[in-house]
Amino acid sequence: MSLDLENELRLAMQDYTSDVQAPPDLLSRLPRRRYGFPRLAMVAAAAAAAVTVAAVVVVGEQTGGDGGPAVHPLSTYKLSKTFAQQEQLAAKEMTKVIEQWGPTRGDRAGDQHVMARLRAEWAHPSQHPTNLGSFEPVHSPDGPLQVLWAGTTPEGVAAYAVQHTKDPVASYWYGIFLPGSDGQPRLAQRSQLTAGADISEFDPHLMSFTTSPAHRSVVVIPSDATDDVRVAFRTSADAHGQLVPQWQDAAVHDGAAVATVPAGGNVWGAVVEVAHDGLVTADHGVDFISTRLLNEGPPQPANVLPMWCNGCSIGANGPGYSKVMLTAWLVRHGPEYLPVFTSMWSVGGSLPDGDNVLAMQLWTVGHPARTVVLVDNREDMEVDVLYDEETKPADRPVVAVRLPKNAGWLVGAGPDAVVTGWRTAPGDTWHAVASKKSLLVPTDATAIELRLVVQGHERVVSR
Amino acid sequence: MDATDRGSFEDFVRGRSTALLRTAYLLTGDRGHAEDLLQGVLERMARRWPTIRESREAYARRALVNAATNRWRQRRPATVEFSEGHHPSVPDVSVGVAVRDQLIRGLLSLPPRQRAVLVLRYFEDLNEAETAQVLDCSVGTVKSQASRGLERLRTLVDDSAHAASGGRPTFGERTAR
Repeated sequence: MSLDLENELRLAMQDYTSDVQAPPDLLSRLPRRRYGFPRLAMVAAAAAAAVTVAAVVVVGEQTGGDGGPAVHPLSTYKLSKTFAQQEQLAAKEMTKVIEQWGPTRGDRAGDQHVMARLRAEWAHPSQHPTNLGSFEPVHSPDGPLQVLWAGTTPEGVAAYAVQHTKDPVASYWYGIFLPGSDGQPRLAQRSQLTAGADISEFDPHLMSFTTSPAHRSVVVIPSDATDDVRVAFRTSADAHGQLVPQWQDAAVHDGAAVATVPAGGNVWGAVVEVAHDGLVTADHGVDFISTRLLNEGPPQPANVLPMWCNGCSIGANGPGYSKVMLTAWLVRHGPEYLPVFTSMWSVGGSLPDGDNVLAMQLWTVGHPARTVVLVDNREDMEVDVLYDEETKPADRPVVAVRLPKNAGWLVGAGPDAVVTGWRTAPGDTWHAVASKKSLLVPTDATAIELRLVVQGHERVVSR
Repeated sequence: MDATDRGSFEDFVRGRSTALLRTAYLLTGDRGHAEDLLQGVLERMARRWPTIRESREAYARRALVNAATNRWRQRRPATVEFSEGHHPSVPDVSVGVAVRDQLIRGLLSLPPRQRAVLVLRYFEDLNEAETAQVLDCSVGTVKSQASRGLERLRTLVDDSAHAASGGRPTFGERTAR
């Protein structure tokens, strides 16, 4: 009987795909420039004489139609409508799971000292959240901190918590707390939470994180406390030198499993898996692999530019949609950043015609920081890659990108800097800006001047 | 990429894209997604072409599976719709088109990695060890996932056939004879 079913399945699959042919133009869809690492013909405008450190992102230009020089995208790709719909479903699922979570899990759930420590860490992070801002009003977290799990690990107390926000799309922030040098929980990750398309691969049904930069253990929290958990670490190499995953069951206690990384194990390629009634319901890599504690970690690479947040949303159409764009870009062009990466900053929003723009810096261990600027067209679901470059340590304190269709300039100020004004030509009257970290400058001019306050000193940069 | 590499890459795309696209179609259940997925994989391969040391088809297959199971990772089964243009090209005379349609619907409703196991085992004809290598999982997991997936398909087909027949022998009962 089994053999017949297998054979029928084989025939069914052959039937189902028999009329599928690769598009004849597939090869021509692969841009030849993609045969090498994407590079932008960057026009680096000279910095104003008063500015010595500012470098800038300026998109290449070509002569265009009535509106003057047009912005020339580096490349264009099509976004899947179904993919976007799946992200919306994932966001709803995430909200549903958190709303129905129930009381805090873990053996430290009733420890008031730990709960107070979590609240204090959350309220006073040593580094601010990573999103640079948006063009729209900001929805900061509000309401109580909801601790989903707090428990003891081999290295001390760890916890996972969320906080609601009124943002219509990204309805939660999340925090991961890991054992500090005193064994008590310190804030290790604090960011907006978006499901599905989120490049941190958040899955409300399977949350996981390493408990320290030493990667000695992994906490796995299934949404259903009765789920079974398995974890695979890589400890030994096969004949080809590839590290082979070694699977192990991880016992679930108080709604979470704490798996010890075996000696010589590699957490970067680890896989976590949950099953319910014997059926695997979710599996993927570890969500959050700590490389530092916000308060106690080693310095970041020189080409990472942490930026402070004074606006932490990615637009009226939401980070969910914007991150669909980004995830689609990652799948195509930056797969090395897909498994685990840290976004050090992002800025974006909706343009007057409904298009979305997203600028973000990506970084993952073993790779340089990289800055990407994407603009989508909601009608035809196409995404233009305006900029894609390794981030240089000297690229501060401002990013300025001229947007297509004369939509203006996307401007983001770097560390210790705010934008206080802009104008299109030297000698013109300044348009005042209320000390913003990011803004959309509404001008179709092909060059602008920006007035900044950097570490208390006013500077002017020309782009 | 030099001219030799470019030529071999373009030969690979011309020669293997249809086979890879069919696998991608089974992994995603959506023609547009499948093309999207394949294009992304080929773009990535193009960037790394000179440095890919293993079988390039195996590399492409693994990249497809990984991308599909990551990108469409979900807890609930996808809504399965057959494309309007899909017509099985070979008339079925043994079990019937309905059963094979039912099997495909069932296949596409499985969790992504379970679906991938069945596609690799019974469409790509990989053995268990090769399937485990592609999926980066244990042979035991391949066995259990294949067993669970087949059992799920059998249940779906049996339930459907039983409902349609008003109690007549089910697919499993017929094929068991």
